[in-house]
Amino acid sequence: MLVLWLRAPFAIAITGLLLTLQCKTTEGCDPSGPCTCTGGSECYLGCAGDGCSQECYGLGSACGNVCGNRCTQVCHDVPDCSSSCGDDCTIQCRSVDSCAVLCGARCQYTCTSVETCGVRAGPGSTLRCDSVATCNVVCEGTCRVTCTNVSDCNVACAPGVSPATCADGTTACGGC
Amino acid sequence: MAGPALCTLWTAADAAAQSTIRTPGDRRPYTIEAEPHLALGLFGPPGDGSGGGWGAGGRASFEIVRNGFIESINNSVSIGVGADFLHYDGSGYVGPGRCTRFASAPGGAAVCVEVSQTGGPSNYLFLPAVLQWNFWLAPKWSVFGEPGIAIYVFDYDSAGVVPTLYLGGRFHFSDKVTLTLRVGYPTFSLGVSFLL
Repeated sequence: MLVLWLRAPFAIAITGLLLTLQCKTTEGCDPSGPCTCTGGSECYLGCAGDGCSQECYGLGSACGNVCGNRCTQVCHDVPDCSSSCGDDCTIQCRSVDSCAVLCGARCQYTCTSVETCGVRAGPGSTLRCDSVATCNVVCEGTCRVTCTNVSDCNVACAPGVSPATCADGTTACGGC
Repeated sequence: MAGPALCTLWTAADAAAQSTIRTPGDRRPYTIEAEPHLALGLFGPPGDGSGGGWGAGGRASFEIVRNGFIESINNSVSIGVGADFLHYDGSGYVGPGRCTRFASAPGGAAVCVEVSQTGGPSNYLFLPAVLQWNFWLAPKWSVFGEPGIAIYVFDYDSAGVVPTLYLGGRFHFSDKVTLTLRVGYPTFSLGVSFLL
């Protein structure tokens, strides 16, 4: 009996610790409404779950959007933009110096009027660079890449897969 | 009119008659107080979290001095350690966050992959360590003060240390079991103590 009483608080503590480790959520924007950051030097937006709509613009230095799945992330008129997103995300960068992105499956990525675009995307993604000096793309599965007015368009596929040039001028991993 | 006044006088007289505060050591001895409890965060937490919090936890207090700092009264000193897990709802206003972890995108540019941002919901694990000074007022009542510190782990990757101060009281159901209320910073708690 004594041992049981002694164990009670520790069992609760361990349960709390497990909850802490298992219920990981990134705090930040509310998925139920748009979330915007503007002004100042830099800003990083998280999302309390999935489905956030995040927008950064008019910052002096950097902006980063971090989200789970099914998010929309927009960054413009900021020197350095970055986005990290799960699956089924739509990500847009325009009028920035660099736009660096990590996204999951079925990512819709558009990088317009940017010096350097860099994206690592999951399978089923559609990636577009337009009016860009350097566009670096790594596809971890099937993807379609469109480079328009791009000085240096580099597409890498998953190991063992070579990028293919399709009839419409796009580049594909996993076949056109 | 005289009824309530007489009742008050009787209660005060009865309490005085049963008081144990002036009798050092007049209580059942115990080694450890094991206390599971519900926890509330009525004040904003340390770190980047905000809003009100709720959760659960536990405390184990080990008696180190049976007759405490004041020899003439019934007081004792314990060392208490515990853990409290609380979820905070956030303030509703989401401010600019800071990036707590970066990764590299193709081309080497940094991508923020984890944000600590004020205003959103957050989770805390508090690990308090306190000096518990007990005052054994009556057979049914005792109170205590608990200065100390707490290590907190905030949203899984940030940690810090915060000073803590609690005031509490116990209603003694029996010699071994009490209802224990604790108010202070960073958390409030209501639980059951087992004096073993």
